[in-house]
Amino acid sequence: MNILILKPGNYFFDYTYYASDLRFPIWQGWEKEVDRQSIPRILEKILERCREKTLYNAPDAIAIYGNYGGEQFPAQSLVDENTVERLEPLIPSAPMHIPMMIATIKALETLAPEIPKLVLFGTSFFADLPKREILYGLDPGLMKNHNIRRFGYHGLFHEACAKKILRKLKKKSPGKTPRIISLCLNPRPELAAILGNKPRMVTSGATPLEGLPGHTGCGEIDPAIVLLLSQKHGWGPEQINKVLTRESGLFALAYPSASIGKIFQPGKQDCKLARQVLQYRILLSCGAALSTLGGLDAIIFSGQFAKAGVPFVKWLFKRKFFQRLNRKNPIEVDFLEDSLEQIISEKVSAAVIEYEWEKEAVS
Amino acid sequence: MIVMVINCGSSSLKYRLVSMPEEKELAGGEAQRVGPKTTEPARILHRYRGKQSTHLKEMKDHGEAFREVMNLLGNTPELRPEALGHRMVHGGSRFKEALLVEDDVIRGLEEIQDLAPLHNPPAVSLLKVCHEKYPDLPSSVVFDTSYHSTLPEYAYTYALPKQMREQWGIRKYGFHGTSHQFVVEEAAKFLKKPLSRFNVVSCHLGSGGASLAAIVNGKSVDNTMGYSPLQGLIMSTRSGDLDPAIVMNLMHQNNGNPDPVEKQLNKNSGVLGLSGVSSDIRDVFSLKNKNGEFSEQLNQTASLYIWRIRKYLGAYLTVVDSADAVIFTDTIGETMPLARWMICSDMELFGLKIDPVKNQSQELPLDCSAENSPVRILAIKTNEELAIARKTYDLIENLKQSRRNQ
Repeated sequence: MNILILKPGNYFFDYTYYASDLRFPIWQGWEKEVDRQSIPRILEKILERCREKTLYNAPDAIAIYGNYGGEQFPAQSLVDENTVERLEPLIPSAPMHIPMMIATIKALETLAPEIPKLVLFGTSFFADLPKREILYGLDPGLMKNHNIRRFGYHGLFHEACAKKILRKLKKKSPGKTPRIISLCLNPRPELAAILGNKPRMVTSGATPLEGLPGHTGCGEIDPAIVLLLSQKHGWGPEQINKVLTRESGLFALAYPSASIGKIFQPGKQDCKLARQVLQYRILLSCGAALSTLGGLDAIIFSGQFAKAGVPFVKWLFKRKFFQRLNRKNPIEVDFLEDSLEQIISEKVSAAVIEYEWEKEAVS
Repeated sequence: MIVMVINCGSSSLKYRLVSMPEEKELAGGEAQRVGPKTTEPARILHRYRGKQSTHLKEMKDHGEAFREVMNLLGNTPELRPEALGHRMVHGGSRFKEALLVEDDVIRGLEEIQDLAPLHNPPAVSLLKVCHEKYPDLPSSVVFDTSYHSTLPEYAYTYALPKQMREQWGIRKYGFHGTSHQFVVEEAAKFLKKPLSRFNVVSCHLGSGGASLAAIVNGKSVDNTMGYSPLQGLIMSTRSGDLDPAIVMNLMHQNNGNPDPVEKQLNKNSGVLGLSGVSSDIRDVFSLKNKNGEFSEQLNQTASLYIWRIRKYLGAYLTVVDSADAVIFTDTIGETMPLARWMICSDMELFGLKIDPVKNQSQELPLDCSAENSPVRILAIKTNEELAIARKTYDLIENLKQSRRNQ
C-alpha cells in the first residue's frame, strides 16, 4: 500500500510518499515558506509527483499528521465532514499548526475526494493520562479556561514501543502487564512510563518545551526564570520564546552545537556537560516513572537517536539501584528503529483495510 | 547569651529564645497564619516554662507579628534577647555564608530580594525593622541556600544559554538548606551512621513551602526548588513545576505584564489555587462536604499534592542509589501520618516499607518503617532555630575574639 504522509507545519510542509509493504520511502521532501493560501497549489504538485512516481497510480491513502490533537482526538480519525469542525476548537492551543491542517484537509477534499484520509496526532496516546498527572498546581478554572493540561507529544513512538514490548513479553510471561519505560530520543526527547499499553506519566507538559532538555529547547526550568527575563532584563514575549525554544537545550550547553547522537559518542569532551545534564535528567525521570509503575520490566528506546540508548543504558546499569532491580527481575532492553513515517504508514494501512472491510460489509 | 532566632515562613513567624552556648531553649512560639487568608484566625502560640498560651492577634505582615511577639516577651524580663538570628531564604551568589548584619548587608539583600518574592521581602523588611528600632541588638542572617552549595554542576545547570548561566547567575540554588542539614545530621546520630557515608532523601514538608533534598555521603546533591523557591513540589500557595510555555501564556493573557503572573504563581496557586478554600493541606484533608465525602476538587488537590512528592521521591531515591533513610520533617512531615502513609505506600521497589501502627505515633524522633524495610522511614523534628542560634553565637563570639586580638 502506498501512503502519502503530510506534516503541515507553520513554515515547512513535509511530505513522504511511503510504500508500507516495502517499509520504504518512495519519495520525500519539504516545501518551505508555506502559508494557508499556497497549500492547494503545493498539494496539487505533490499529488501529481506521487502519480508519476508510481506509474500513475494515486496514493492508496493520505495521512495528515499533527503534533497536537488535544482531547478532541484521543485516537487517529478518518477524515469526514465533521473533522474540520472538531479541529477548530484546537486553534487557540496550537494557533500555528491547526489552521494549516484544516487548510490541507479542505484542499484535499477537492483535489483527492476519492482517497481515504486520516488525521493522526502525537498527543492521542496521552489523552487519558491519570488526572493527577495531567494537572498543574494551578486554579482548576484557569486550567480549564486556557486548556492547560499535560500531554506527551511522541505518542505514536511510545505506542509502537509498548506494542513491541507487549508482543515480546507476552511469550516470556503471559498474563502479566509489563511495566515499561519508553524513551523517545528525538531532537525533543520524551520519556513515558507505560503500564501495558496505558501511559501513566510523561515528561512533556502543556507543550513539548517542558521535560527533558532537547537540542534547542530548555526543558524544565524554574518558572520564575521566565518572569525574571521579563522583569529584570526587559525581554519581550517573542524574545523569551525564541531563546527558550530555539537557543537553549544541548545546543546552549555544548558550544558550538550538539545532537543527542553526538553527545553520547565516546571522547566528546566539549559535550561533557550537555551529556551529563541530559543523562541526569533522564535518570530523574526514570525514578519518577518507577514510582508510578512500581517496578520495571522493560526499557525501550525509539526516535531518530534510538541507538544513543546503548551507551545510556550502559551508564544506567552501572548504578547500584538498577543493578539490584535487574538482579531481582531482569530488565528487557529494546530498540525501535522505525521512523515516524514507518509507524504512521503501518497504522494507516491497518485502518484503511478495516475501513474497506466495513465499507464492503455495509454495501 | 540569649539568642532570639527568627524564622519568617511565607505564612508564619517562628521564634525561639535560646541560651547559648548551653543550647537551652528558654521560650519560643509561632505566629501562625500571618498573611494569606485561611479557614482559622491568626494567632501566636507562645511557650514558656512548659506552658503554652494562645494569643489571637490580627497580623497583616511579619513586622507586625514581630512587634506582637516582643510585646509578649516584654512581660517577662528574663527573656530579653541579646542577639537576633534571622533565617533568610535566598542568598543568591553574593551571600554564600551566614554573616552579621550591617547597613550594606541590608542594601545587598534588598537588591536580590526578587529571587524569593514570597520569603525574602518580609524577612528583609523585618531585618530592617530590627536594625532600626532595636539598634543595640546585633543581628545575623543565615541563608537557606548555603547547604546546597555542594550540588554537582550537572544538577544545578539549566539548559539555558551561557550568558544567562554565567553572567546572570541563573542556576538551581536549592532552599530549606538549614532544615535539611539539621535533620540529616540528627537522623545520622539517631541511626548511629557516620554522616560521611549517610545517603538520604530528606522531605521538608512545611505548611508553607516544601522541598525534597537528595543527600549523598552527608552532602546535598539535589533539591526540588530551583533558582527560586517556586520550582518543585506543589506548595501552600506556590504552583511548583510548570511548563515555561504556561508562564509565557499567562503573561500573554496579562498583556505581557509579568507582575500579576508572579502573584498568581506565588500567592494564589498550589494548594490554595487547587482547593479554592485553604492554603493548608491539612485543611484539605480534614474538610469534608456535607455528605462526609471528599469533594472532587479537594480530592484532586490531595491527590496532586501527594503525587508530585511521590514522583520526586522516586527520582531522588534513584539518584541517591543506595539510600539509608527517608526523612520526613516540618509541620506536615512531622504531624501528618496520613501524608507519610500515602507517600511511602507501594514503594517497596525503592526499599520502603512503612509500618501503619508505628506511623501513627506522634513521638519524635520516629522510625515508622517496618522491621524488614531496607530503607528506614523517619520523622525527625526540624530545628532550624537551633541551627541558626549556633551560627549566630559563633559569629558574635568570633567578632568579640577578633576585637580582643586587635
